[in-house]
Amino acid sequence: MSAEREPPPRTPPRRSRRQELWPPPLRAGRGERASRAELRAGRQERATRTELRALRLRSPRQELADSTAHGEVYLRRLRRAQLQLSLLALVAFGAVFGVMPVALYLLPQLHGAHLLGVPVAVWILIVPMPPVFIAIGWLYARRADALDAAFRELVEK
Amino acid sequence: MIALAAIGAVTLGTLGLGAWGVRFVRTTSDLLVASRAVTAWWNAAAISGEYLSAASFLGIAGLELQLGASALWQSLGFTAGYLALLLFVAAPLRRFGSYTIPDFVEARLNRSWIRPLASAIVILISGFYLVPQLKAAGLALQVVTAAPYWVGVAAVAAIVTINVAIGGMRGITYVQAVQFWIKVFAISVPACVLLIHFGGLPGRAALFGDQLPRAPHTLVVRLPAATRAQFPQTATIEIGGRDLTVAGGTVRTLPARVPIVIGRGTVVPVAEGTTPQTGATWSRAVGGTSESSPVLVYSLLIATFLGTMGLPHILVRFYTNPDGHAARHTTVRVLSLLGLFYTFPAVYGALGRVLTPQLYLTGQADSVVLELPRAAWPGTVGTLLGALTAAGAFAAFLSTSSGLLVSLAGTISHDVWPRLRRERQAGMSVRRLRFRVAAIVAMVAPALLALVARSIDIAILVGWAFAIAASTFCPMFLLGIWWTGLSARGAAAGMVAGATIATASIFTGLTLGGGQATIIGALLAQPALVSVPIAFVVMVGVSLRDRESVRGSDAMLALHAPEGLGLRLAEDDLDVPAEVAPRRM
Amino acid sequence: MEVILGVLVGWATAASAIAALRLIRPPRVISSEQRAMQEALHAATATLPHLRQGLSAESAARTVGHLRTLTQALAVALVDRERVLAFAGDGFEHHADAEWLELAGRATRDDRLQVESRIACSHPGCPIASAVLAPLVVRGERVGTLLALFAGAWRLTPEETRTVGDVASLVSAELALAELEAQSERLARAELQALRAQISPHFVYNALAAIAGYIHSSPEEARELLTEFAEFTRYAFRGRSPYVTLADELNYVEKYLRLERARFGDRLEVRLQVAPEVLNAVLPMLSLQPLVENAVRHGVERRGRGRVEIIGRDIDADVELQVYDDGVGMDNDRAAEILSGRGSGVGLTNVQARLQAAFGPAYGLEIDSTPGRGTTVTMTLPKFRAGVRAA
Repeated sequence: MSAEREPPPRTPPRRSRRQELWPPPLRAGRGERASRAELRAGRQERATRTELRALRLRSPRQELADSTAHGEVYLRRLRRAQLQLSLLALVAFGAVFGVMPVALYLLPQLHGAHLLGVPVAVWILIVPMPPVFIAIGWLYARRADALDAAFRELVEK
Repeated sequence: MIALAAIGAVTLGTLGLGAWGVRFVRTTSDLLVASRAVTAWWNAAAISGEYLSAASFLGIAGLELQLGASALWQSLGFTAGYLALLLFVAAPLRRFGSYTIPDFVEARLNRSWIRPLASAIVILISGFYLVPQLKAAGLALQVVTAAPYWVGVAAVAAIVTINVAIGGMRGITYVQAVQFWIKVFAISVPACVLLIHFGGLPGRAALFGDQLPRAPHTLVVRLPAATRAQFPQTATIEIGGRDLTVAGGTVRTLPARVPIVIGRGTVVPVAEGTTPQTGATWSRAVGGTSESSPVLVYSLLIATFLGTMGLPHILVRFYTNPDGHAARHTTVRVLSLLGLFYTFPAVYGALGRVLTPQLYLTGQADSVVLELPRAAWPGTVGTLLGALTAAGAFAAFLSTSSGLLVSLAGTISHDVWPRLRRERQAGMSVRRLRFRVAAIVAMVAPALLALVARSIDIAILVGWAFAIAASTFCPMFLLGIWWTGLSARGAAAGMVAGATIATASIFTGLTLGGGQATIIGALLAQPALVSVPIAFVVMVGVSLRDRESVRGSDAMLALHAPEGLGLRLAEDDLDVPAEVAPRRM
Repeated sequence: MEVILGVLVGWATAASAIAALRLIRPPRVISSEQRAMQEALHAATATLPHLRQGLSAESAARTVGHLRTLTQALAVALVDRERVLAFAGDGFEHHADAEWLELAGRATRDDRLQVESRIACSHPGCPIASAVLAPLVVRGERVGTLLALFAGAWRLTPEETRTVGDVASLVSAELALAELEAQSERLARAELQALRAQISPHFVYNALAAIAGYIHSSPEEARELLTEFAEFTRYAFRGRSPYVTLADELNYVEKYLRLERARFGDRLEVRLQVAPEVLNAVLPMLSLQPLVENAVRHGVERRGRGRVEIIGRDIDADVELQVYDDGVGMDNDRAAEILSGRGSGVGLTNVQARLQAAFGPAYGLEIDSTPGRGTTVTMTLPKFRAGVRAA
């Protein structure tokens, strides 16, 4: 950005209010004519400000709020991480749960063996899965919250 | 009589609680808005309460009695559905803020024309789900008071409609939460008491051994209609005072309304359509009969696992969570509450096989939860326990059908009606009137269908609702939430394909009649295994080919960005006031 | 068959187990190098907001710690022309501030980094052996010095000095920015004036008068009320999104009512009855409060006592909020005037306009009032409207 350029006349539409507020150059308000030195200072100041505004970093949070491409980079990372986590949890219970019917179908021995007078297959059907669901659900929720927290930290730093 | 009183108490109680529950009156001095937010446990109980329908309370035990242990896959699937909801949908959906499925579809895909399609599917699913609730009601009242089937259907349809139209208990979290605990109480106490009474499971030979179910004592059965019955073994029964000996394997038509006496220890004949099973096959989790073939089991698991997230009355409840974090933790609690509840129905199916085998003959397996306590423990205790299960069953279909009718009426009055009238806006009072009319209209068709669908098992009817939800809204949610590339046309095509295939195969299966022996027959009975992948493929394929530029990044932000990011109120946005200390220029 | 099955089951169990393990113990994703860089970067950016306030003892105290992390020095001090503003580093208590000031005074030129090696300290165990002095220059004028202290004179590396120099330029740039920002203050004040118009001056006057009344009788109460008042105004002044959740708005209304109760005491009776299901509904900011203020003003103020009720109902996909007062009421013409925007009640007209702009003409306010019998204002909102989000 060149130092001589005037500040852009219009701010892009979705900037935050604070930035729209960036003032047009202020003149001394003491009711007197501005001296030449002051004018020069004003010009210099304007130039510096333009320069500095280019320097001024927009936080990822703002980028997110304005849904820019930059914000999208952050968000995509979060989305991927969350999806990976979900798939991980899906595998954690789904692999075992998924082969259960086949295993019970092809292993009639499980029906022959009895525990407390009830076939092992029936025990397998009733007992272990609900606690597994709850445990996986709880672990997942904990990790998902951690991902959200990490994202929050990343964005707000 | 006691049972009727219990049902009355539950009904009036919920209505009364609804009226009372609104009045949480406080003055400002002790008022803190934050403290009024619904806690995760309450909300989880409310979600579970609305979810546990007649299918869970009566249907699973009935299906278990009829098919065997393979019916328990259904309860696992019903629970696992919330895990799928938790992993993929709960938090993003809450963050998005949408209140109904059509809201979500329209806002996510950014096209208004897709809304009527989503509404139509909502109506289809709610309708399918409402029918078994009403069927259960008819059955329950029949068992309790010996009133004709249609009386129960009509009575519950009327109660629910009036309740919803007047605006009684619907939507109130605390009422639904209490309903949940009523249901848990009503199903767990009789089960535990009976198990203790018998010192474990009686008659294990018929449950797990090589025995067929036999009459535990002399049974007197009156059939509601003439029934063709199969005699698995040679047996002698007394019909209207005359002894009749039938050879094993033959089928006889037994007359209606004549007392049929089955002597103690006689193998009970089975209504045609039900397969007589020995204990060993009955307790097979998979593959005992053609009704529990692996294909059918997998198809059912897919339907329940993926269908839960697409049920129209579930999303509404998630609105009550304050944020995505709360939505997740609420869902984990739902998982544990459901896990608790689903421990118990299995007990009724097993005890019923031993103690009420006449249900195999009458074909009313679904009423096992209601009839078992009285049959198992004749006398006051049995009557009391029976009254308890009847009350629980009533709580089950009151809460679920109210929730469904609210979604149904809301969709009709909000989406369908204005479109028919071609008008854009209507005031509050008009909208409210419409909602009431819609509630009444929406109840008519399911009630009529319930009269027709009398012979179909509750659990199977509900399985269809899940199949349609799994093949329409599930892919739409999963892709819509996690894939930016989903286009409106793709979503529409996928939902249409899924709904068409699922509905068409269900009706084909119905007209062809219960041939589930082949793989095709099984898939016609429970099409999710085929229709869900097709819906996914169509959605992805059409979206990929779609010319319309899809960029769901705005929606993605709303779906996935955690709360408290300062996208909402952050301290440093307050940079206008006093911290700007006066400084010299 | 059995073999295939065994493999299948074994594979599935293994997959489940591995996935479950990974769920329990999250893998480390960031390497130590990345982390070090992130930390450095974070330390650098963390200084920004404080230095933005200008170079003062307070801002210096908040930044020196970060500057020390950045420079990896034993200790770091920020010094202006007269005094040591802040110092970071432990175990150097035996050096007085004056010594650092003297050290900083050795810097001769405005634009150069200066290295002082061979600092002899007689204190046993004091590791300091060299110092790097970097000028802080704003618009060509030296405003202070960044002083970084290192051990062993010979171990001072070019990387270290260069880092100190870079850090000093960072600080300088921020200070320059601070100066500019100070100039925008007047403009900010102008905006404050504009925002102030959103809050009724009537209320501000009354609230402050009520607080003033408490100052003598119970100063503690007055202090609390003042805090309330500050929070109240802060809510009103917060920028960005024009939408909030009903829970937030109700919190605000609560603060408002607490301030009003400071005036009326028990003569103002308030009842709140809101279904918890609707707390997450989204509505335009400051749309319920004017309704309540109206109720207080017309219902209570004129008679000196009265009752205000706020009711929130969950009606399917809509939310209904009612504000009721048992005050003087109004006739239908006046109510129609207010809603159509011709009346003098700026507050309600404005709320109605904002509601309809957000949710369309099907939603908004309804006034039901009988002269002498009280007024009920009903606001209806949808629970969800795409694009309307409390963000």
